[in-house]
Amino acid sequence: MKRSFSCIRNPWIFTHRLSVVSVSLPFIFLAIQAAAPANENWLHIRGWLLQTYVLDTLLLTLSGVFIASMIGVPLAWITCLFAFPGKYFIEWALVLPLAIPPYISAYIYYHLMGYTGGFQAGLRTFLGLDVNRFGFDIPPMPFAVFIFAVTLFPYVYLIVKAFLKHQSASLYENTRLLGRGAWSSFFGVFLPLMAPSIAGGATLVAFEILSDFGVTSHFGIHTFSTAIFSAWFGMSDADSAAKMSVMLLGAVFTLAAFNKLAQRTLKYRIVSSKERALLPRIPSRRVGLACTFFCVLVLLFSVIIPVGQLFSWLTLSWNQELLPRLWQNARNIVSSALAATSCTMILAVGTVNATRLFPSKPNLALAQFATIGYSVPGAVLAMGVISLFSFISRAGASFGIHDLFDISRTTAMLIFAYAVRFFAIGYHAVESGFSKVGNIYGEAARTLGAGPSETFFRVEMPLIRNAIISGFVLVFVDIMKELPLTMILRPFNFNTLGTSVYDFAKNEIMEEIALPAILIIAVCAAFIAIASLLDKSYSAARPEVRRGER
Amino acid sequence: MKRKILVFLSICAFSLTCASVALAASPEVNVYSARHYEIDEVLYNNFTKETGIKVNVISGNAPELVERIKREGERSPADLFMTVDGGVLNSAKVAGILQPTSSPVIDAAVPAHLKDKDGYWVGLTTRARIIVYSKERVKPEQLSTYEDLADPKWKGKITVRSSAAMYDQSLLATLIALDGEDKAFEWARGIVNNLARAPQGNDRDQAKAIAAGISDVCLMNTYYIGQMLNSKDPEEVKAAEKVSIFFPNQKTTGTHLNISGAGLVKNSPNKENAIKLVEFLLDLPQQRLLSSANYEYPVNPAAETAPLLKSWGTDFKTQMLDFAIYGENNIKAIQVFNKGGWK
Repeated sequence: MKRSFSCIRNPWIFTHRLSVVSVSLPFIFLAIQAAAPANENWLHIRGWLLQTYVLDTLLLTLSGVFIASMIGVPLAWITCLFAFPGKYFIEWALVLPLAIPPYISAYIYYHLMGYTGGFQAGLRTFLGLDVNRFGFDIPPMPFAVFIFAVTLFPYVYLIVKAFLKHQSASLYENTRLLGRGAWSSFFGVFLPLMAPSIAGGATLVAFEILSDFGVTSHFGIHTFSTAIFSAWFGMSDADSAAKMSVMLLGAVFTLAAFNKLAQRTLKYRIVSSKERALLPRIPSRRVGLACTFFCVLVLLFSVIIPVGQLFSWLTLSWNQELLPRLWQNARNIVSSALAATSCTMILAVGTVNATRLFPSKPNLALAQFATIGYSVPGAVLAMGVISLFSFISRAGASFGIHDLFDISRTTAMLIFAYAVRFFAIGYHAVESGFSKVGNIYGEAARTLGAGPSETFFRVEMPLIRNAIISGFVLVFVDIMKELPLTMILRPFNFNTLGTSVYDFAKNEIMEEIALPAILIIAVCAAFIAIASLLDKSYSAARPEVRRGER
Repeated sequence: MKRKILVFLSICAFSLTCASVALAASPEVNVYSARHYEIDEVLYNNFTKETGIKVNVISGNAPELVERIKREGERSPADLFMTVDGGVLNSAKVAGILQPTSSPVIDAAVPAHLKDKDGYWVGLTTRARIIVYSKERVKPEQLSTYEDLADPKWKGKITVRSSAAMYDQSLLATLIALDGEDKAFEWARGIVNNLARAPQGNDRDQAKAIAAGISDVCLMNTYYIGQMLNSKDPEEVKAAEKVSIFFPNQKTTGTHLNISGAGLVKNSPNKENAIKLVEFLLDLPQQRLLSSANYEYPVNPAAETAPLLKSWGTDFKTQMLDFAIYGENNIKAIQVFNKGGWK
């Protein structure tokens, strides 16, 4: 009796329940509305298309995840191990691909490699060479895999790097002392240790690919997300769409379960009183240059070429009259993104801390459940959110409150949807921050008489500050890039940089996407830069840690 | 501790402030639009200048906007639903989100076959889906009909968009109506057999494929050729100059026409303003602007067509089908595409 009462009054448990309820409500409304009578359309989909959907989705996701990991893991390894030329700039720049939405990258590369693009036009003009005569063509599947790999690898890179930075100094030194070479210690010791963090990054990449619509629809690749779209919006067949959504959710839960399993079975607890960061050492000239070359190559394909193409379009389409409108669009999305990110991070911090204070099985499972918003296609979530808010609005009206959530005029619906969708990112960031800190500090504080909330705010929050900041940045950047939710849930006259890009791309006027796309990338890059500065100044302000490093 | 809670609360308060937007009190009309054209913006501004009625716009993809209006129910603020494609207009009608409307101005401006027979929507502009061919490798005498493109003589010479494209779905929907489902299936399979590459890209990419020598013929909407010829990207202009256009089926069923239009939403709170906006868009200056800026055909027969379109000839024969068929046959069309292997 007393316990359940305290659950309601406890702010942590309250936040936990709030997150779970917020995420579940749109899906409950979807389930209610999807209960339409079955039809012959489903038989058609099952007979003619399902196999393609399953195979293409699997192929795309697995190869995308594989290539992204093949880029992300080595990058994390060399940036932690070696102080190669240009490392400090490169280490920061490698986060930048997150600022480039995959669909924009896809448009750019498709144009660039196409007939009128720079690649072929250049060959024609300067060499008189027409590659089409040799059957040059862009194969959709490998191309889409390439796009996902170069835009999403930072998820793997960041998570693996965070792991290596914190746990590896003594380990690495010991493996080397015991006679292992750099390669051997990577494959023999670190790769197994890194497995959980690789799995964590890979899961995020997989979720992004599974819920993508922009890239796959552009290349005519049929995945579950495009199938749900075409069933629901093309054939007005909510029932088949619901069936496929359930299948997609099944895949997502399996993936999440695998991830959990990997974390549990592969996790080696490193028990050490002094966890020191690995100090990068100066490699031989050859190795150093090889590292720089690899990083620059990755940056070339993920950032330099796309941004270069945007600037070359900008020279064609520069129009000062567009600026005030785009400025307004930028203000719209930045203020909504800030608001939504704040909500998301508050929910995430509260939920994670609740599962630490009350680590019962249902609490953990519910928190895990609350991360599903990230893995469903945006448009599916959007429909659930509209139904939910319409219901609230109607309920308000029947009680005489007519202006309650006048949903087409405020960004409330949009901000709520962003929070539901990106809760998972914030949650994972905070969770990984806590898992690095462990329980010892909190337990010490509790032993010394501090209450749970005081312990959190005075002891643990400063310790996981960096995790919260990086979660904030990841969520913010993801919202800046987001398209389907924004398109469907925005209020009147509310345009964002993303919708401007979409409008121009839809009308096939590619050179005009330059300015809004550059603004998206600039805002995201500025945010990432500020966060990394905060990170640095924070480490500098903790002398005891630095002493430990020496 | 307390300070930190205060910080948290102030963040929450900030979020709520961001969420609230002042309510408008002046006369207004709320448009849910799936037309993403720059020129629309200009026309709305002109309308506001002329009448003092503010135009609020939510733009998005048509099926999603229909779904949004449905879910918002009787409290939806939407007055006007605007979109491209006859099938989508019909599906909005069938979804029950529109109401019939008529006015003397609308009746006078739009010929009967360019609006819904029950008055649920009215056309604003039209566009034709035509055959685009290589000036170098194809002589116009070799071209005749859509159906002819499935003939083995075009093997390896055609490129198309993915079957997710609404414009091809509507074309196939009309072929199902005119030739029957079996013939339409044979046609889709014939096209797939003749493809030079897997379906991909947008309309302009098909013309670029011809310029690149990948294919000889493709299907495109008229306004895309107009826009390519007037593109800011010189490479795109060069590509467009390598192709020419052909109005198919002149001796048989006529060229496939599609339409963009507007419908009054069922629970429209600003009905009169919405009708005023439609009448404004159908008036001659606006119709002329739509045509000259966007290379669409005006629905108002008295309005002046863009010079480029005139140079192509405006008295071509069109399919005289009810646009409702585009919607009614849409699912069949998608299924035929799937069975025919048109990805």
